Amino acid sequence: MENRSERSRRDFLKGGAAGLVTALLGGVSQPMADHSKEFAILQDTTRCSFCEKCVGACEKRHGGEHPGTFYTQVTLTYPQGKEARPLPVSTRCMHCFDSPCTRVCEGKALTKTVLGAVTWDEDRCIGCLSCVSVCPFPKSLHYEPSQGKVYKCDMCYDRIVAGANPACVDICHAYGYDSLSFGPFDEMRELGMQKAREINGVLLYPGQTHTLILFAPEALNTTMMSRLFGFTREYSVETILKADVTQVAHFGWIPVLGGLIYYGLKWRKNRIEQPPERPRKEQ
Amino acid sequence: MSYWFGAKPKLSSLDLKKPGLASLLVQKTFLVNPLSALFHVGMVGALITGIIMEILYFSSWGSILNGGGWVITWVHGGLGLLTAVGFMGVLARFASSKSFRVASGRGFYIDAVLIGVIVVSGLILLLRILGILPAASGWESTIHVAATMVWLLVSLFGGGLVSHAVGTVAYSFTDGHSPVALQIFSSACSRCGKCVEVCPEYEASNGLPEQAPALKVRRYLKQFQDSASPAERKAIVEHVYACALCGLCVGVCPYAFRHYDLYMGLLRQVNRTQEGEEVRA
Repeated sequence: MENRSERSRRDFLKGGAAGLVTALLGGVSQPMADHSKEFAILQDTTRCSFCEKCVGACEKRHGGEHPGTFYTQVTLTYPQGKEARPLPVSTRCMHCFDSPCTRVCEGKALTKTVLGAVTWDEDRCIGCLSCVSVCPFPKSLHYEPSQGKVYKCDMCYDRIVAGANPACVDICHAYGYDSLSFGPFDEMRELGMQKAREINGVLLYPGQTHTLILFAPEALNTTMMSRLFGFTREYSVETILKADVTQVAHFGWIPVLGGLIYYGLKWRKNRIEQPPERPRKEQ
Repeated sequence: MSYWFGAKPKLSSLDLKKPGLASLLVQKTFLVNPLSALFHVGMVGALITGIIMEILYFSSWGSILNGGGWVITWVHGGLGLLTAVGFMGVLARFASSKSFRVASGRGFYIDAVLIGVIVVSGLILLLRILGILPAASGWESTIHVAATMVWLLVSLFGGGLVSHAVGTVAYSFTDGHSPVALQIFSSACSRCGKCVEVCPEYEASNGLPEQAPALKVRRYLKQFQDSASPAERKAIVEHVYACALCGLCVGVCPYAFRHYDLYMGLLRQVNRTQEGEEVRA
């Protein structure tokens, strides 16, 4: 499909520009080949009715202590043309395979888990905004200045470990909708591909993220998508490059420390002769 | 002759003792100028909090902060703001004082550009952290980290502000006139330009930069060590020996550095290697 060419182009660029330094550092988080243990959320925008029940469920699940720090928000936009249906997209963390945020996190608060979810530890977050600056999807991280921290979707990690669905998916099903679905990554991907073939739509980033979004053909106005959601048809190479540069720069303490030691040794080595001792009064 | 912000250099006695670390860090910094104090407090504090953030990045100790880690980020941002304000003062001094320009040399531009990049990227981040600008993706976070690391290394070896800081701390642990101390002072010199203002040799040479004491200490020492042949060394020493040994520079130097010790040491060494005997001072 067309997405395959996007992926290969990105891999090529990454291999050429940014992946080189990553490979030198030991290949930190390469995309995992085996997806059998991973889960994914599939979102069918053609079936969403903009009821915002998922937002309420997310707020109940996550935002109890600090109001305003829930992660799911449904954005509604109007495509060009009067006949076109308004397009609701539930924006949350896309749970990238090769997540740039986990590599630049100063407090080691973000973790890419084996289940595919990028989890987040509130105690470790220091609110440095590094993750926000490298995130390819600007609406997936919520910085709350009153708390000094970044909040994000963790795919309801404790619920999926216990075998349950995320709160947003459960509430979607409970109200009789099937816009959101959750399951093993391979199943969700096949389901999304099948739906995309049926409606001639596009599944966004089927091989790069653990949140799969299905768009109808009439919603594929790239300008509108990039303006309103920060989504682009192409997974951003720029953010991967940013993450790699930041990651390498963090290792700058090694040359700095080495330079300090060398500098100190140079003082001792390049000594000049002891000046003659003179009584001070003779000046 | 123009003095910075109208403050005339105060000539102290030539028996001035080498100041200790506390005196160098507090008296010689805080009492000189409020902007100087802001710059030093902000820079040292921002570096320390930045190092703490780097330690968090390379360790898994983040959870012991118990959710209070954001305070480090906010303090780092606040200290960075102080640095930015103080840095305005440094730039103003560079623009207004010719002696400071002469003493700093061209290495100042490296520091100015790199600190400018760090400050601007940090200010954008600070506005985002305070919620004034939206928290959105941008290059400023990456540039902030990368430029800081580059600045630390370039400024250390380019004779910039980092070598001044490292050298000042190291100089306070020396006796002030041993061979190593002479070496360290050439790094520690704060380029304040006071020695340039009072130097009669510099005045008599119509402001020839090579005759500025602050430059002699750095430039001639480096040239002396780099040049291999005794003839080259001797030529340098002849330049150095234009000094009249009046000692005014020692009186105004915040480090109470005895410049003539260095000149005499160079002269003594080149004569010893050439003629195999000591020359009396």
